[in-house]
Amino acid sequence: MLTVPDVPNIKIDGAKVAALANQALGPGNDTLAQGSAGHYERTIAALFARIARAAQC
Amino acid sequence: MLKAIRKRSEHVMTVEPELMKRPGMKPNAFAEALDTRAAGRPGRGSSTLITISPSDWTGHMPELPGAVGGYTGPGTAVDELLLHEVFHGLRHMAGLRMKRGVPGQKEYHNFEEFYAILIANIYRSELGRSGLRADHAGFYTLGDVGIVSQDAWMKHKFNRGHLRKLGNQMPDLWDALAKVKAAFNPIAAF
Repeated sequence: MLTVPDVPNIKIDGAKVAALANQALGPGNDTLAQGSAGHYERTIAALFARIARAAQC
Repeated sequence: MLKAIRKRSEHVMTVEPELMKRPGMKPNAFAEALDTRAAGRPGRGSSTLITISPSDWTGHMPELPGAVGGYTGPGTAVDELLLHEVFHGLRHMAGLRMKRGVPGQKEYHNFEEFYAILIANIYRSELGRSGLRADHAGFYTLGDVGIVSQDAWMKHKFNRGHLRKLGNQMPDLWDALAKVKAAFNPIAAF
């Protein structure tokens, strides 16, 4: 789980991605599943960073 | 807007992926209040859940993997979609959720969509992207529905009154938005 810088009450949670990956890949692929979740979280964090650069945000 | 969310520290905004898609199904994104009643009560408010999968959407983020999309047009860029849903979430946290329809503009579905589309359109204009989203019935442009200028938008139906309501509900955000330099910014022009 990630938080948005300076906005600690925004939580980005990729756990569902990991769960889906675990289901699809089967046991023994935790690292890959967690990597998928991390990728989702970093992607959303990048979008928040883009939004934060706008004047209104 | 992020400052306004931070101020609502008693509530949490969680962002999760949308995993319910099936082949051929159009993408979607949501904001759901955890306590729907409190989300409409100023002074209370609710934590909120944003559901969005960037890889479902196209446009402006070509670096995202798996972008396939199902829609085009203003409002379909993933940063705009996220901003749209985050604004819904902020309204939940502030206890300002209004599910009433917009008089004479049923294509917006309710006031929350009217305001979220307005905010995303100002953001879109600030970034210099062409075209502004018309309403919540799709992703076509204001020009497509005959609204060809900011002045025309301001005079359309009761939009000035709706703007005034937003200013009364969210004065800090209003002041911040009024400073945004964008070709389309009805709040700055109010």
